[in-house]
Amino acid sequence: MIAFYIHFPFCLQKCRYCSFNSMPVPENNILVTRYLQAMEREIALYASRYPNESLSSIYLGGGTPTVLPAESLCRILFCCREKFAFSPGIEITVEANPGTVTQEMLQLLREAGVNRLSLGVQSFQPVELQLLGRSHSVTDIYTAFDAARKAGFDNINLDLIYALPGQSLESWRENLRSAIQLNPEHLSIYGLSLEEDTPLAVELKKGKLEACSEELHLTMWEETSSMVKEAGFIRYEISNYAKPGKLCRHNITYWENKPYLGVGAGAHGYYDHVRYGNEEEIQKYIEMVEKGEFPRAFEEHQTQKEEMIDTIIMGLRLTKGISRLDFTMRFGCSFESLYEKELKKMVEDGLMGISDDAVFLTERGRILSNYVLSCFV
Amino acid sequence: MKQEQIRNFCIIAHIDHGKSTLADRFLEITGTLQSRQMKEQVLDQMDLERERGITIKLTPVTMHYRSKNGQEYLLNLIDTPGHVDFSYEVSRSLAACEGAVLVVDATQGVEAQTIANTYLALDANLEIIPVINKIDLPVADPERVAREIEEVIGLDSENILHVSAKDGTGVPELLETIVHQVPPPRGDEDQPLQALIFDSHFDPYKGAISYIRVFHGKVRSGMKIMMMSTGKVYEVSEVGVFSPEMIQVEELGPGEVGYLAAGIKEVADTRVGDTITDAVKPAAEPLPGYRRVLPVVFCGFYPVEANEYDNLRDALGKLKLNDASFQYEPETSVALGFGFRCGFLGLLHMEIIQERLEREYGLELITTAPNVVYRVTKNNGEVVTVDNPALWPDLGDIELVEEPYVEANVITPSDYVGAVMDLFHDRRGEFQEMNYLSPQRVQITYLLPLSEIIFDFFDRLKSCTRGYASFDYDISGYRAADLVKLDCLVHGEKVDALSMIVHRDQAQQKGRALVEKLRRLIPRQLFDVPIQAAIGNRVIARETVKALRKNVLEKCYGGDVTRKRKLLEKQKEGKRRMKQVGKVEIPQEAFLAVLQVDKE
Repeated sequence: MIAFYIHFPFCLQKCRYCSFNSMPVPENNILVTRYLQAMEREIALYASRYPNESLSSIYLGGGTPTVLPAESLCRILFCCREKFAFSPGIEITVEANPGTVTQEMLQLLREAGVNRLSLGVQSFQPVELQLLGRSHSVTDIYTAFDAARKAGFDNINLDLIYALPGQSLESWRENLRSAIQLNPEHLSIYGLSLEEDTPLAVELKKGKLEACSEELHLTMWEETSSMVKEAGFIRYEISNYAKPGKLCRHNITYWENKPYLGVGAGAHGYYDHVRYGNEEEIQKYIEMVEKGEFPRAFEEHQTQKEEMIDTIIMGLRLTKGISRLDFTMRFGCSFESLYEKELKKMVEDGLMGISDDAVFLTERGRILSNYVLSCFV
Repeated sequence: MKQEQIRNFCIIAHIDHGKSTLADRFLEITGTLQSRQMKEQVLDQMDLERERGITIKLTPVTMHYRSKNGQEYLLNLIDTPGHVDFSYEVSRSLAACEGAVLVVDATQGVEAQTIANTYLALDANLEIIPVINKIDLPVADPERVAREIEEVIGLDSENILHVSAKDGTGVPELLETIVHQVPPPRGDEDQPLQALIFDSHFDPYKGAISYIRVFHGKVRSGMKIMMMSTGKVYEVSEVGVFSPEMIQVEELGPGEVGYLAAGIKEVADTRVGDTITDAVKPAAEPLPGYRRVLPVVFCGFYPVEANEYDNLRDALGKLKLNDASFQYEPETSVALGFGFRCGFLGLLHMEIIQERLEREYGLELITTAPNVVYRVTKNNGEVVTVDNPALWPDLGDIELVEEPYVEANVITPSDYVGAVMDLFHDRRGEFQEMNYLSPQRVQITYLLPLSEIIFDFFDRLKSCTRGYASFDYDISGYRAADLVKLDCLVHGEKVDALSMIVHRDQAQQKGRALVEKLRRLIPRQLFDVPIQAAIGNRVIARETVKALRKNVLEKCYGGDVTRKRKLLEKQKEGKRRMKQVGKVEIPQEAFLAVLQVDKE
C-alpha cells in the first residue's frame, strides 16, 4: 500500500506569500503536453519498478492542478489506474482554487474517481484575499463550493490562513464562521508563515505592513481550536480538523512517516528508506524523464536514526500521537526506553502525555512543538 | 673565528616595513641561502600577528661575509619579537647583540613599537644603524621620514642609509656599514663560561634547545653546565649554529651565537634571560637583566564539551613545553564546570594560545573575559592578589583596591588625534603628552589602567584611525582605584563566569549593557527568566527574557520533513552546547558578552 502525490506546478498567478515551485500556465501548450506525458512516463517507471504495489491514496496537488483542463487531470488518473491496483476505499484528492473550477469540470473529475476536493479558500474577505494575492473572489468560493456539492463531492476541505498582517481577531472569527457555515468535512488552518523573498515578506521587512503579534497569533490559535471544536470537528493534527470519518488519509501517510511516491517536477517522495526530491525545473524534469531516468534532484538514504527522528517529528503532529506498539515494531526498541529522560521531563512540564497505547503532545505541547521535538532529534 | 671578525646584530622594524625582505637580501648576498625558512611555531601565528600589526619572528642565522677590504666576517642576525607582550624577550634578544639595524618604511614613517624597541636598544648600548627602506616606491618620502627619525629617536639624519630591500639598492652598502660600525664582541675565552639565553624551542628528540650568545668562556658537548637562576646542572649533548638550519659544531666561543642541547626536559628550565655557566668552574655573577616573567592577563579556558577536559589539559601541557611564560592551573566554575585559569604576558599572547588550542588541537573552548591582576588590601591588613573575579573578597572586607597601570604610546596621523583622545578618555586615560613628529603625524602618551586596553582597545584604535595608528605600552606600576565586582544573576542564580571587575563609575552603564546583551542572547525558556546585574546585594540593572509561548511549524507535509529535521537538529546542537545554570540554559556566546559590553 502506497500513497501517490502528483505535482502540477502551474498557477494562474503567484500568491504573494508563496515560495513554492510554481509557474504561470505556459502560453505554449506543447510544454504542458510534454509535461503531462513525462508524468505518465514517470508513473510507468514506478509501476515497472514496484509492480506489486497498490495505491491507498492519490493527491493531485500544486500549484493549481485545476488550471489545466479536467481531461488532462483525468488522463493522469487513468494512467495510475492502468499501471497500479487501487486498494479498496482509495482516497483521491484534487486541490483546486475557487475560480478555476466549473461544475462541469468537477463532474468530470468526480466521474474519473476523484472523491475529495481541497479548496484553497484562505479568506472570506476581499481585502485579505487581495493582501494575499489570491486570484479568486469571495463569490468564487461560494460558487465553487456549491458546484462541488452538486457534482457529488461529499468530502470537501477548505484551506484557511490566519494571523495576516493587519488582521483583527474579529475578522478571523468572521472567516471561521463563514467556513463553518458552508459545512465542509475538513478544514486545514495555518498561521501565515512568511517565507523569505516572497513579496509579502519583503513588504513586511520594509515596514510597509505590520506583522501579526505573537500575542494575537496565540489568541487566534486558541480561538480556532474552540470554535472549530464546537462546530463538530476533531483536531487530528496540529493544523487539520475533520468531521468524524473524514480524516485525510493521504496526509496521514506523511505524518505516520509511511512510504509515498512523488511524481512531477519538484515533487518529493519517500520509499525504501530513501527520501528524494525531483528536479524542480520543468524543462530539465521533462528531459530526464524522456531519457528514461528517474528525474531526481537528490536522494537521501536514511539511517535508522533519521527514520526514527522523522517518525517522531511527524508522528507527534497527530493528536493521537505515536503508537507505542508501532514504534517498537518498526525500530525494535520502545520509545519510552529510548527517550526515558526526555519523555519524563516533557510529561513533567505538561507538554506530553503517555497512555497505554501512545505518546502524544498535550494542548500546550502542540503550540510549543518545535521546542518539544528538538529534544528528540 | 676571532671576535674581531664577528658582528652580532638585529633588525628593528614595524610590520611590513621590510624586515624579512631585507634579511632575504642579506642571505642572498652572503650566499647563505636563496630563501630563508621561517621559524616553525611562529609561522603558525602569522595570521594573528599580521592582524595585530606585529612583525614575524625569524630564526637566528649565521652568515659568512667577505667585505670589500677582503676581510672575512661572521654575521649573526638575531631577530626580535615585535609585540609589546614580549618586550622582555625583545630586551634579551637585544642584549645578545652589539648593533641594531633600524628599518623604517619610506612611505610610512616611524611607528610606536619601533620607537619602543629602539629605546630598548639604546638602553642596551647597541650601535644603531638607521635605514630608510622602500625608496624604490613612487610615493616614498625619505626626507620626511628622515626628519621623523631625527626628531623622535634623535639619530642624525646625515647618516641614514637609503635602501630598497626589494630591488637590492643600498643593501651591499648596508652590510659594509654593519661590519664597520657595529663593534665586535669583546669576550674573554679564559674566563668562566657566561652565555645568555635569548630564546628557546622544544625539540621532541633533543629536549629544550637553548638559543645562546656566548659572552665569556667556551661551551662544547660533554661539558657540565649550570643554569644560574635555578642552579640546575645539565650535561651538554650538542652545540651548534643556525645556518639557518641547526648545524652541529665542536664548540662555541666568546661572541658566538648558536644553540645548545643538554637533555633539558622543558623550556621552563631554559629561561630567556638566564645565564648558562660552567658547572665545574662557575662565573661569579650572572649576566645582568634576568627576571622572571610574570603573567599580567588572566582568563579561564573551558571545554565546550565536558569530556574534552583531559584533551585540553594535555594540549595546555604541550604548549607549555614550548612557552615558559604561559601559566595554567585547574579551576572550577559553577556555570562552566571544569577548566583552567590561564595567565599570559598580554592579550596577544592569550589569543595566540587560544587560537593554537583551537586550530592545532581541535578543541572547542569557552573563554571567559580576560582580566588583570588586582591587589586588594583587606580591612585586617592582609594584601591579596586577585587574578580571578570569582575570588574577589567580600565587599565589606575590602580596604583598598589597586590595579596595574600602563603608559601607552600612540602614533597617529594628526587627523585622528581627536578620535584617539576620545578613545583614551573612554578608557579612563590620563593625558601625559603630545608630540608632533611632523605636521602630519603625532605621538600621544596616556596613562591608563591595563584593564582598559585588554578589552578590544586595539581594534577600536584601528577603526578610529582607519588602521593608521600604531600602539605600544609599558607597564608602569599599581595605582589605587575605586573598583567593584559586578555580578550577574540569571534566574536568581549567580553566574560566576560572568562576573567582572569594573570601575564604580562605569558599573551602572556596563551592568545595563550586559543584561541587555544577555537578554538578546539567552533563548526564551518555558518560563520568564530575569537577568540582573548586581554589586554585592544591590541590583543595578535588570531585564527579563520572556517565556516562550509559541513555537510551532503549523504546516508540515511530506516534502517538508527533511528541512524540518535539519532545523531541529540545529536547534538541538545549539542546545547541546549550552551551559546549564540552575534551570536555565545559557549559550556560549553569552559568556563572551562581557567582552562586548563596551561595543554597544
